[in-house]
Amino acid sequence: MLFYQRVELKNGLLATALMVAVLVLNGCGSSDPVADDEVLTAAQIAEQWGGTAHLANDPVRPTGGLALHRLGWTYDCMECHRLLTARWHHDRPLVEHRDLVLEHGANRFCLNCHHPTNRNAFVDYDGAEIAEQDVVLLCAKCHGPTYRDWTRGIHGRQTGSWQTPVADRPRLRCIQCHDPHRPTYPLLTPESAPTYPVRAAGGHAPVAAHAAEQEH
Amino acid sequence: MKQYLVFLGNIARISFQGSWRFYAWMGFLTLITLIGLNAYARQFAHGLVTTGMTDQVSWGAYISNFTYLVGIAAAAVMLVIPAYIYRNEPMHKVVLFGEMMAIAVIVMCLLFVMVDLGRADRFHHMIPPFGIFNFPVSILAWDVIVLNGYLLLNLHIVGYLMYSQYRGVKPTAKFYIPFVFVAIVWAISIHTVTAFLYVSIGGRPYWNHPIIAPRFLASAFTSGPALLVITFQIIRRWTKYWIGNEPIFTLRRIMAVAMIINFFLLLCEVFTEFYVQTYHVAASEYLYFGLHGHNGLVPWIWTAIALEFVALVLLVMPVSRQLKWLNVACVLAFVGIGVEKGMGLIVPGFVPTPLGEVVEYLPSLNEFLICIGIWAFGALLYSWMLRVAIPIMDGSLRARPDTPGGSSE
Amino acid sequence: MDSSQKPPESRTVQEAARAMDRRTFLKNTGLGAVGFLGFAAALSPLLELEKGDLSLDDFLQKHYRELSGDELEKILRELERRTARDFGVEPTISDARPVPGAEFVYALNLSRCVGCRRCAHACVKENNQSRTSDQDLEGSFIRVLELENGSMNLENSEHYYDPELVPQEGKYYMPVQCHQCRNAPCVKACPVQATWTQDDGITVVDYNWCIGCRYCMAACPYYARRFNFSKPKLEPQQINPNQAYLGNRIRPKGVVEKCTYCLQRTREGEYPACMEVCPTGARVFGNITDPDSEVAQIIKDKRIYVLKEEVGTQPRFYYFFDK
Repeated sequence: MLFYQRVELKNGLLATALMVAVLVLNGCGSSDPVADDEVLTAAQIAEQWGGTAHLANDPVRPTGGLALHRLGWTYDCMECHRLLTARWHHDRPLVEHRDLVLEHGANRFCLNCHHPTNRNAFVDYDGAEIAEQDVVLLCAKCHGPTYRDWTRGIHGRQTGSWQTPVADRPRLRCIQCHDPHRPTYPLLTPESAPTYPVRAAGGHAPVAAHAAEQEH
Repeated sequence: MKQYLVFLGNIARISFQGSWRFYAWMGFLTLITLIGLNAYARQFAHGLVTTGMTDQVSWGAYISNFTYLVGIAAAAVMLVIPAYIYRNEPMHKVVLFGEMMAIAVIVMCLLFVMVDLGRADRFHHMIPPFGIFNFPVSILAWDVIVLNGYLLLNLHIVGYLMYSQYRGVKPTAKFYIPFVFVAIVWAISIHTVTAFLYVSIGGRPYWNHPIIAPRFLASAFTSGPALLVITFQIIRRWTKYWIGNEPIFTLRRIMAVAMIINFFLLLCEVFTEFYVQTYHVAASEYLYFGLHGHNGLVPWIWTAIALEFVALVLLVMPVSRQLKWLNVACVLAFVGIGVEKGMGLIVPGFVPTPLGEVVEYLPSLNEFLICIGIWAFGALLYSWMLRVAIPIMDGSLRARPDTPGGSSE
Repeated sequence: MDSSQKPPESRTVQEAARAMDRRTFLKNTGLGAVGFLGFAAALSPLLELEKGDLSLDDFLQKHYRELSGDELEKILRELERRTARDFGVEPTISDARPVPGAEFVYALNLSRCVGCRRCAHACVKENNQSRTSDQDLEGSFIRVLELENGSMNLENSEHYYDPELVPQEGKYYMPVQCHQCRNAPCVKACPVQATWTQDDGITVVDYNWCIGCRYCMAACPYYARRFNFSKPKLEPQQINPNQAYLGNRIRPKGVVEKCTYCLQRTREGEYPACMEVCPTGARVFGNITDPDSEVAQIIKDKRIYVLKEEVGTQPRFYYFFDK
């Protein structure tokens, strides 16, 4: 079998010498000159790479309404709705907001959530207004246990530091993940799968076949 | 002291003397050993990426061979017990051959562990003054102790008896008999501890199984003597040292009993696994029948069981009182148990992984070369020991040939 | 020790010495030379060792727990220099020690996980895992299993699922990573104490002490450990420069590595990378010694599932359910 690893004897001798010397020689490795221009510093690499690009933690859902307020937008729902008052029955199709599809389980009526006279706000149990930024309280009307978990940091995505008490942490609100009109969490595209190890014997049965086998 | 140096000098000298057959045999083994060394140098330079092992199957041919060889090593005790406990005289003549085999095989075991290490250059981390030894918590630490202890015990016993014989002095009982008895217990311990390496792993149900250790002993007490039976016949065929048939047939009886126990324990294991059908059966299913279309080990294990079964039948039948058939049984048992322990004990422990992934394993060419290199080195070592020991044992190499067995130094 | 039945062929020391005449001497010298050359040729692949693969400093380095502050400091700077030399990025390698009084626990909501594998990929990137492409998930400390509704038998799990969208109908997903066990089989297995559990509950590996025997990998019931079969392959732009000695620094060849709950982040107060990227909030991480922490609340109130509880590992990783 030596033939496929054919090496000159000179190399062989060198190797033996190397065996003896390699520990000592490499011990001095630290003094090797390092060409500064080839090496990226931590700061440079952070800049190039975005540093935390792999930690992207943006909410899955850009939230129009809340963002508008934050940007100082003065858009006022009541500019229209002053004239177009609440409709209490689904007696005809929507003229505006036709992009909205309401798939919120049994909750299929606009004014369950939106305030009947002030469209810039939501509505509480007793008809009182819930300010737009307090949307969490609106959801809590029905989703009590989830709200309780949210306040304790058990439901919903956490950012910040584990050392900060939950109450003091910046929190994502319900509608930053759930579309209120269609609150089921959206399907996601999975990132790439692991593969059967290249050096292993055999191979993996195609996923589809495997799944089919399980169904039967 | 001077006499001892002369002794070593003599040994060195006769090591290189022999017929062309001796040279050819030793040259051949040296060549294979060097090929193995070359493969290891490659592994050392590039890492275990040169093997077929993966994160999923993280132990392979090296640890399999190691496990099998531990069994062979301890089988020397099958000569020592009749010789020293039952005072079986013919056994006394051959007991040293068994102990020398133990030495060679333990050295092979240690080499197999060494080549399995990802960082062989940090081996000293296991040796207390330089390193930290996780004793008594780690079973691997125990294994290091029992293996090296067994090596030292056998080196002492063999070395002492040889040197006494060489000087023509009757060995002093207190300098070796206690060690012989310690070695008997110790031999059992190397098996047990090696089996406990696997048994102690709670996360792998295939191994976490009390029958592993006794079954390991039973199969070793078959394969070890099988190798000895063949070796004895080679020795008496090719050297001047005469070994009678008595030790061989004593070993035959031992093998027959051990093989019966081995099969009984196999039955216990298979019944427990398959009757209940807990999901822990997956590893056994993979081994015997294949799992999710993966069946790499199935032909091997059935071949091994078939070989072992034929060996069992031969051993219990009178036909194996003929050396010809006994040799067939020995070869079948040695190969069968080798395949079974080699492929059937270690690899299925990893298949499926604890998370249910089925990844198969086959050794790479480089890994295979390292394995046969170590086997060749073991054979080389044993041949060399025989080359040195036989002239001493038959009295042709003596410090003072004219005073046989009389000196009182 | 009976003498043999055949008459012994006696030979004294002197006779043996005489036999060693000039011809034998030459023959033996020749044999020796051939043997030596063969030996040297056999070892020649060692020439392929890379610079710095072996060094006296490494050889003499003590276990992490025996290093003095100064010694460790020197080693960290040396490692930074070597990373710069070998990988083209000079990282900052810290000694991130446990936060006093903290004990980290992870909780994962099986009702919320959708199996998107964001965590597994963030893990690879955060922890400087060797990879051949950005899709390479081989080294990730996290495996996401796809399971059939109605069963929790891991032996029927699918690791390689790759549909258009997740979660798939009739399936649920279970990410598995190191459980940082209180009774860790890996720690017990290690023959040289190269892996141990620190005060905050994180089981670490001293990559400069590990001998690569892989007994810990065999011992782990969660498939949480990975081995560096070769020297890691990383492009400069793939390297996370924020590194820790016991954490995500680029590992040497031939040693075992594992999830450390991103100790280079968590010991600085941040969340682990896998939690940071989890889009659904299925992952919850915190300090169990704080009764107001999320994890403490979960263990108090929620239905908890401990994976392989029967193995007795007592993990610091819990699965829980909403419904």
